[in-house]
Amino acid sequence: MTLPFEIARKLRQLATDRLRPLVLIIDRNMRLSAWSGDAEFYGFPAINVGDDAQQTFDFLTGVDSKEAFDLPFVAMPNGLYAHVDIIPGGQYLYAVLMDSSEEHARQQELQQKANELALLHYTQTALMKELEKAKQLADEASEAKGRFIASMSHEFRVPLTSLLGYCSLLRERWQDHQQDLQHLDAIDRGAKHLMALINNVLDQARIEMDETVITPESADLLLIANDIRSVFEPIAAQKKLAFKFAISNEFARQVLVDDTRLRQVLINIVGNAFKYTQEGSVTVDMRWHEGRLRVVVTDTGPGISYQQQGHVFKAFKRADQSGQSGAGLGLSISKRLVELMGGELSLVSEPGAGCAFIFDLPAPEVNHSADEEAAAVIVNEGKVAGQAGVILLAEDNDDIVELIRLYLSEAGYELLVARDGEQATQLALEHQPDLILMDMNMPKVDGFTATRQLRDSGFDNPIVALTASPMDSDRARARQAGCTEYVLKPIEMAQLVALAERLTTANA
Amino acid sequence: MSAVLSKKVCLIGDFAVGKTSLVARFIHNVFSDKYLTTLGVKIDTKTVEPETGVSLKMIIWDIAGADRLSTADRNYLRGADAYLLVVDGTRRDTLIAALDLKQAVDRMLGDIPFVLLVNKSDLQSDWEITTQDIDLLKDRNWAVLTSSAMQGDNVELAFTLLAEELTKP
Repeated sequence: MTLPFEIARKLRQLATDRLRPLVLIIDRNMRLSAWSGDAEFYGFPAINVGDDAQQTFDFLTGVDSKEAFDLPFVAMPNGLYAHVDIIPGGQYLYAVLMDSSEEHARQQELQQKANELALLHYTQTALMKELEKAKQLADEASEAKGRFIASMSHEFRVPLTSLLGYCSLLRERWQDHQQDLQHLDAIDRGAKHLMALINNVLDQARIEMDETVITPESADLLLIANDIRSVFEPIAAQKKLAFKFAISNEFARQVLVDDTRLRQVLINIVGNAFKYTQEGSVTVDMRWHEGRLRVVVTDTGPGISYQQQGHVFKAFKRADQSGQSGAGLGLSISKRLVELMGGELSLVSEPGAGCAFIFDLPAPEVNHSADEEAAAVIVNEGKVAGQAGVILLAEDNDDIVELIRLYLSEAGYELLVARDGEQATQLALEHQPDLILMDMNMPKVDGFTATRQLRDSGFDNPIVALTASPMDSDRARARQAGCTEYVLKPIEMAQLVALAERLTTANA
Repeated sequence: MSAVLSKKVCLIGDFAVGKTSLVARFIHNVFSDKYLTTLGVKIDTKTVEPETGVSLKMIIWDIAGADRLSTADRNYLRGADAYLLVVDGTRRDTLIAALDLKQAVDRMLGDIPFVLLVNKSDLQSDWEITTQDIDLLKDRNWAVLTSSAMQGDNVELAFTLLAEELTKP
């Protein structure tokens, strides 16, 4: 159907207005033969028939007249954009220009956003790679620090074992030398303080390295409470402070909790209360209710301002610098340990009104069967304190060997001594001792290897790992090798004797 | 008066490598750090007098950035006499794109003169492209330059090298 003339004319007008077509007719010699349309609209104000088309119209540079093609967005001299169609036709070449400025602007905006997003993504990816690299370096540095600390720990703990052990020995022997005992106490206090500092620094390092492992086991809550009370009673008496220790009526004895870590937190927080309180009292309130343990430790010390409260749980920070010794790690470690045990530690305090440290953590009750309880009673009844046996001590440090020999001999044990892991294996297989005390860090063959060899050879009496390494990874390694217990140096001699008695009588 | 020799020189390379900035530096000796992506093609001209002694009107086609040649790009490239292959030194991916583009151009136009420009030497501390990479490219007997549209380093030289190639007797 042919459109009526008026409609066709209208449409033609509309197309002309919208597209502003310019048709260039170019001859075989690339000379402009004619044109139709508004050349000035595209920024060509002065064109003439006969002009060199390629010199006049840059977009025709390099164009041959063999095939048709189009250039969608070509910037014109005046900044407008044209869609250019090149159409060969007989002896002429036609270049048809149509205004594509609006479409160009629309697509350009979209492309701009797409490119900016792609650049952003590229930058983010590059940053992520850099971050990963930095993290890797930091992890490596942290690991190196951990190794250094473990090594230093060993270097400190071994001599401290001798120092504390001989202090203890001399205290027993110098009962009649009051002045010497005072001097000995000074040495003992200094060594214990040093030990506490080292332990805190090590714990902090382990927390930073995510090395700290929480091992909930059946623990006697009442025993823990009593132990804490007995640790601090002499300090309370010495500082003339009232020490109140309250335990709720509803108090499960056997609960599932990490005994060691709970004791550590209590010692840190109660110890802190005693450290900063010069007069008045320290109160420990322990409550157990429906599987949760809540402890509130209050003191009548100087208190902590609101501003300083933000710092007390940070590592190496203390609320004040008022001459108190310490590395400022106890509270930071305690908070992290409580969190690792699934609880929270908080502080309520005001200057002049003392402090209240509160923590709450899961401690589900453990229900023993009647058979287990009966078995426990039988084992306990079977224990006879001081029953002698043969103990093999594998230890390369002469001072520690001598110290342990003195204590165990007094307890009635026959002691065999090996200076390295190889010797320990030989002596153990030859004499089948009731118990082996195995230093894990020895020359030739270390304690881990010696233990593994003994277990492989069928030796099944208890082996106690003696080590200066507090790293949980070493503890796990010792267990894997076949150690029955893990004792950290410095060793309390009385505890070692008690452990020996427990293991040898239980095994008898 | 005899007509000035005209040659079509195209700039190709991935997006945001600095093609438009290189042209702006070469033609108008200006630089803007605002990124405005090119869509389609912008054509500029500059007449140069290389050491060959032949005046050359360079008709410079600044083609929208892409990591491969579209149909439109192929149309823009028709009849090109030489090209600048532009890479962003801070983005290694743009070098890989450039190598792909070069292969496509070789297939389309044959062996025509080109210069590979590793741009943004003002940001050299952030470069992902190494000196080793550049040496390897030079080992292919390619004309490779590091450049900075911002500071103008080697921009003129890159176009001049092409002009010399295009006006060799």
